[in-house]
Amino acid sequence: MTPRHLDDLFSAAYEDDLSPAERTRFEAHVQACEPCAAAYEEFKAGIAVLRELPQARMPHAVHLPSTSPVAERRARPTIGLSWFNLGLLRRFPATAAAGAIAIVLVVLALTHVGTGGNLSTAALPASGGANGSTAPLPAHSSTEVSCTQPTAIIGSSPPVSFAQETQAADPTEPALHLVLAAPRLVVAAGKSAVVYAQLSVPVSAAANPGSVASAPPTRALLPCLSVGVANTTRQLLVLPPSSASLAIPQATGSGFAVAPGTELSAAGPLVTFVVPTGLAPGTELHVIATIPAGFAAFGSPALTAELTLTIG
Amino acid sequence: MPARTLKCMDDEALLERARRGDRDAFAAIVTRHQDELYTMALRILGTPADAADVVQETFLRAYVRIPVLRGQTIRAWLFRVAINCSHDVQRRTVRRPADPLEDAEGNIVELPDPALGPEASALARERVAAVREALLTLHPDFRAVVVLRDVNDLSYEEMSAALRIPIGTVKSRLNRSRSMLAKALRGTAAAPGFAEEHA
Repeated sequence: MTPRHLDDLFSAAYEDDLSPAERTRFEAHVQACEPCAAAYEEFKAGIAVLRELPQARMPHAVHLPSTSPVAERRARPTIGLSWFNLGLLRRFPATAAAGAIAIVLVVLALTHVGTGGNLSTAALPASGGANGSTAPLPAHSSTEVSCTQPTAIIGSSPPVSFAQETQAADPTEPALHLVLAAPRLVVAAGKSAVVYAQLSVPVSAAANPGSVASAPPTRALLPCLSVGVANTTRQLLVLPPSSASLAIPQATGSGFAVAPGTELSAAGPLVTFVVPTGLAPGTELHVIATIPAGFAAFGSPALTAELTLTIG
Repeated sequence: MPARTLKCMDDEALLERARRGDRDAFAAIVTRHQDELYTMALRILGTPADAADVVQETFLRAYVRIPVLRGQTIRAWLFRVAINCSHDVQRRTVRRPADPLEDAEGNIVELPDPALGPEASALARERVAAVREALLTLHPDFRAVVVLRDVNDLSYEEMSAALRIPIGTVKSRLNRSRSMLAKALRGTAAAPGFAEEHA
């Protein structure tokens, strides 16, 4: 009977990964088996050739977006599937399954209520539906915004003082990204608040990265923007830029108004609004910037960036 | 901050600065890793223009992922993205002949050692071409593993993270890849003894 060749151990032998016993057996076999000895020499020579190749040098500079690197995500803890959560799921699968079913049922119920009418949630007046039966905004959700055509603006990077920033990007087109930022996450009732919202779209040169010597040019768009009070249907601001005008819900006597000197026109990415005086400290405001699917390019997904502001 | 200072910082410290909006810090990360990523992509794809595009795309993706990147693992992450981008390029492009020593504009990007004479330079060039051809005969998955180990010198752990396969699979796949490469090099300018036979 022909002894089994040990070519499956070549790599381990080369890397010195064999146990002493395996090493002894391997060396004895290679000494006695001429085909294995030749094959092992050929094996090592192939590795040597690869390792002798010089490191190539990137032929041109890497072009980076003209905007600053993304600032750190908000410091507030978020609920996500961390390894800790996954460990819990593994240990308590039945509980997890029951929880998942409950979540699905709640979502279905909310969806059913939400689709009772054809109006998008964001388009509802601040006082809610006529019969008050609409579901409140969940604590964290993407709100449908009636927006079909974001408006071109004079773009700029978020101001340096805007430390709170979040963004969304199309994985297949990373240079295209939606940025939503604010100077701080705590706002005061009765005072004005400002947010930054901009979609940076690479133009044709950016579609072929590295094809030009300078940084890829981009154009800027103002996304659809809404500010809603968490756990209510109340919208403080809905900005569908398709008409380049504001769709401001009727004020309810709470003092909501567009701040004087606001940049709500399609001139730039900064949007200012006044926080109503009637909101209690701790109330959360959800700021949602949206780009509809298919807007940037055929097949591109919808992009949504969210920030949560808290009344201080 | 002076470029020299940034150069001395590790990836985690550079990322931390980049998260705070320091573009130069991210540029330092690019400078640190671009050549090794380019080398990997060039060995996998065989064409300098495609390899440069892969590196460009990899850093663009990193740029928008700065908030979630971690310095301790950014090297493996960059390699993983570059490999995925390389596979995307392979899927959407037909193999085209290209001189591996020239980029799309005809610039020499892999100069032979100037200390070599003309004949030795020609031989070195033949060896590079032979290795390139041999690598291209491997399945992309096998090509990637042998390039990561024997060209880029990644550890098993880094390879496991970059390829998203267990370390045991890395080792077994590496053994097969190296064996296939050795066979593919037989009789080529990169085979053992070729230089002596043609001296």
